[in-house]
Amino acid sequence: MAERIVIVGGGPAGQAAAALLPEARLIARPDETAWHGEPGTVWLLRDGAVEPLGFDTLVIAAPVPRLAIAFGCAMRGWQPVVDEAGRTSVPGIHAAGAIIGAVTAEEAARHGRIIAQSILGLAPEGTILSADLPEDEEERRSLSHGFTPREAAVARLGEHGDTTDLFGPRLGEPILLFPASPVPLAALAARTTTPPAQRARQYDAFMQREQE
Amino acid sequence: MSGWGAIVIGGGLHGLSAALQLGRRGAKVLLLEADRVGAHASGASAAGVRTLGRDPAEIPIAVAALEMWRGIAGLVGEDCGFVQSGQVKVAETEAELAQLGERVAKVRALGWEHEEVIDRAELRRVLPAVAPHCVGGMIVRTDGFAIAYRTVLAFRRAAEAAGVVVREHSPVRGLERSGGTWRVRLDGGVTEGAPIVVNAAGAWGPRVAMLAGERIPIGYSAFMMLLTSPLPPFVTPVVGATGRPLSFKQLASGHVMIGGGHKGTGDLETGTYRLDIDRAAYSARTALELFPALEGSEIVHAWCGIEGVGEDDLPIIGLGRSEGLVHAFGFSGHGFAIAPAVGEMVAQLALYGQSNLPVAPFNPFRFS
Ligand SMILES: Cc1cc2nc3c(=O)[nH]c(=O)nc-3n(C[C@H](O)[C@H](O)[C@H](O)COP(=O)(O)OP(=O)(O)OC[C@H]3O[C@@H](n4cnc5c(N)ncnc54)[C@H](O)[C@@H]3O)c2cc1C
Repeated sequence: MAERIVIVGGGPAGQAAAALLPEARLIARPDETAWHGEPGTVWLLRDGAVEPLGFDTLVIAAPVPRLAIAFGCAMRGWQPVVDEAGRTSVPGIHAAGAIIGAVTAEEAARHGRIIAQSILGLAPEGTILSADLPEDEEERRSLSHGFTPREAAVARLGEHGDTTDLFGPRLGEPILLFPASPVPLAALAARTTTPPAQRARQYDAFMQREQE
Repeated sequence: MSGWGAIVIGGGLHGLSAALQLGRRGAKVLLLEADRVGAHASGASAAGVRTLGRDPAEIPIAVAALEMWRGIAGLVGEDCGFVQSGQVKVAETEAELAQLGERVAKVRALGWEHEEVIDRAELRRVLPAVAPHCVGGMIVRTDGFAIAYRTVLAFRRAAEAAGVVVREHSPVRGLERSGGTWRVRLDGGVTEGAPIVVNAAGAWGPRVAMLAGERIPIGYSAFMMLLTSPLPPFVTPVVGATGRPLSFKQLASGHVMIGGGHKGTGDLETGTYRLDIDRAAYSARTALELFPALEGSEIVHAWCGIEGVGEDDLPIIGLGRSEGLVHAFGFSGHGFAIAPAVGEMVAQLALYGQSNLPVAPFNPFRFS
């Protein structure tokens, strides 16, 4: 099977990567939204329906930190940690553009091209330097350059009602929240008509090792 | 080593409540939290305050706790968003209604009067927006709900006002008893000491017990929650279903919180969880079938909280085998409501070796 490449985000980083990766599937709003992810799968909202899309290689080129977190990417504050070729800590997942601190469209597009070149096994035109992040955790959380997670989240709070009372006063809420963007309840409800079996309780692998 | 009277392990609602009650009784308390206060089950909780449908073993505690919730501002200095909205369990079929009738009769026979069966007409009066197929239900009119994270912060402030020292990012790595003192080992070669240790480590309770050489090998689950965009007010009580997992409420802000049993998966090594989208979808479907008013809403947040779960879905509360050790964890998805009362029980167990409320059904070693 050919490698399935998915690019999330139709901004400058996503467009630049897609231009070099014609086989890739580009997920761009408003037609399609990648609203959640789990290893090997992004969850799409498309024509009012919720559906999974499998991938081998993923480029996150949209300011959706909760998507990166859902895949288990190592984060520094609200930015996925990337190497000089835009690789996150999760094999097969790359991050480009505003989500890793690009402040201009040119820089974002350059990220997109470098990632595409590295996926194709070509010599990259340069290296990706993600924005230097302050040491202080609170400061990192309140970073406000470009199209940042904070702005996106604040806009979302405005749009969907203030939930700070529920989860804390800062974006550094102690409970990790998903999805990366809102999804219509009815679209989600339409996925399943039969009751799923109740999932059994889990057991601590550590305790089981101790027992042996 | 600095002369603590008690060390509480875990900064969820149960650790904070126990610390508060120990502090109020004059003990010098150190609370150690591996992450941040409220980072797990307590911050993620649906925060329903429910006596409705409790296991008979938990009823005395739930009833005592509800009394405390009614005066919660007196205990912790703010109302924690607590409202006595009532809680209703809806019957979708006549068979389910009959089942609820038997349940209420059984609880009344034990001497408890808080639960009541309601017919179709009364169900529509308390839940005007409920779907037409629902035939009746079971209600406790004085139950309600609070706001989870606000409650955690209020208990923390109250505990600190009672002299408790709260230390976050401080995972406990070792426990050793010698000469009437627990030596509690932390990272970086730091050790603290106290004659009393409370294990309130939630899903990690079995690991902490193991540090003291005690095997209490219960399981855990990552209970899943959904929150909708704000809607005009359409439901006042907390609503559960009888034949399928659901718990459902509308907050003052208009957001609707949907939970009640479907699970994602949790990882105790990392403290992280994964949603289960198809099970979340079925929660959404159940909610929509009971309340068609949800039709145009969006899911704006979804999350899980990792919680210890006993084989009998009851908590572990009681003295350890070692001297000076009290276990209080594994509240099996319904420990928020009873936390104010359990804090008192734990303080009594720690200081006097017994509690005013019946603790025997929660014996830590009942599975071994
Ligand atoms: C999604 C969800 C919905 C719920 N809804 C309701 C409801 O509607 N009504 C109700 O009554 N109950 C509900 N519950 C249950 C209730 O929230 C829990 O029973 C309660 O919050 C448990 O509190 P806790 O303090 O025992 O655990 P936690 O809040 O999980 O606290 C345990 C703490 O111990 C810390 N810890 C672990 N190991 C160590 C260590 N070695 N050193 C230091 N610290 C350590 C952890 O970091 C954690 O913060 C719900 C639970 C969940 C998850």
